[in-house]
Amino acid sequence: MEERKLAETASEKGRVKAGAWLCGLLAWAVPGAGHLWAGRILSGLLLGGAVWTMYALGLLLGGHLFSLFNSTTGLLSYVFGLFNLGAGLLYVASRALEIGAIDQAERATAEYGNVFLMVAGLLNYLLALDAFDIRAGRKS
Amino acid sequence: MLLFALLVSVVFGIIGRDTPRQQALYGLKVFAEFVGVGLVLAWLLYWLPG
Repeated sequence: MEERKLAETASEKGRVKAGAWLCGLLAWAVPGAGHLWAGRILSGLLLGGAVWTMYALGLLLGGHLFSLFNSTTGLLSYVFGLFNLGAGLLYVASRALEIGAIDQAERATAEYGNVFLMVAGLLNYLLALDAFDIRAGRKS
Repeated sequence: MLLFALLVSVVFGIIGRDTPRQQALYGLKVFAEFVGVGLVLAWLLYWLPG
């Protein structure tokens, strides 16, 4: 009886953990989706809206997305690439469609755009961690 | 700068606190800090020789 209870508890914990990882992954892939999936509708819409808006503004301001694999501007650009990767499928799709691929340094707002794109990615990493915590029951 | 501060403070406000009231207050505080620090830094940099 005791062993069965322990096995059920372990199985339940495993399910919660798997759900939390899935939620975190979803939150990273589509900004805001993790919170929506966790049942936080308003939070998901506001958080997702903020990241999507920041990403779109970054592109409109002339920012460009840094590559993860090849760089012509030094080692630091790989770190910037990791920041950009935080935007999840937005980054993957943009790179695949060559949106934001060209460095438009001649534009006065290009550096602002780069910062907006990088911060959008960094904020989305936070959203993914937050969605993971919510789903894992660590956060009320 | 205002737009940047607004978007970041929305995220920080929501994930940083638990209740809606606390989230709104914390978001406002972060927004005010971003804008305030931005203006102070801009003012300080203005006096530095270019």
